[in-house]
Amino acid sequence: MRLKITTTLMIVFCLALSGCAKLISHYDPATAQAIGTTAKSIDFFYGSLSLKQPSKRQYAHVAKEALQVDVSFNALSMHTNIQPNNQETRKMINNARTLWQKYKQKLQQSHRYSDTKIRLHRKRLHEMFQVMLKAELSKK
Amino acid sequence: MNLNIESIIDSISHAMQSEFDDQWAVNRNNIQEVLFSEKHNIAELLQLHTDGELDLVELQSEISDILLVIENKLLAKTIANKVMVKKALDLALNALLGSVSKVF
Repeated sequence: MRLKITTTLMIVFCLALSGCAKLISHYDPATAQAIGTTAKSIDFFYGSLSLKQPSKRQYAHVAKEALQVDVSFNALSMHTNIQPNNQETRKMINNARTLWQKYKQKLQQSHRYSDTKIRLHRKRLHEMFQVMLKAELSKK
Repeated sequence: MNLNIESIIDSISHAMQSEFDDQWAVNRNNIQEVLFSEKHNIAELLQLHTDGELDLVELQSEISDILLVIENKLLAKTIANKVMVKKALDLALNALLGSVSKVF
């Protein structure tokens, strides 16, 4: 009788623990790769922008590169949205996307982007993606 | 806007503490550590403002962008904390399952 109760309690405890263990999504190599791809497309966007004369730094001249960044973000969101218990990663991507959209809109509106701003925004987004990649790799 | 770096850091610290108050073991030390890592970036922005490269509106906008970087760093810490707890729970679960299988 005592053994039965102990065994039942252990099974219940195991079930409870297995429920708690679903705290966070597993490491996803596709997400890690998509983070790298998006970071690369952003780097390419700012690289292309910085090569142009300040007077030619208009959105129309880098629209193709900007579209590539948007496409990469969409693919990244798709990978993270299908995974359960992944709210922190989703929030991190949304934050990075918010910054990207803000910088893109500024370029669309002002037709001016100084070397200083290119350097600041490129570095900031790079840092965000580095943190995201580290966080994904920490799930291994 | 108070352009003293310590007061900027202080107000960010308060905002982040209330934001991450109920999050996974992200404590005051974690927040201070992340803020410290961003201090040089805020100082650089203040310097650019002093040099006339950024006007006040641009400075405010750039500092608010740094808040998102800080938030992401704290979210990464939350993930790391959850992973640590998950690994400990997995170990405990495996040990318990071993004990249960021995009983049978």
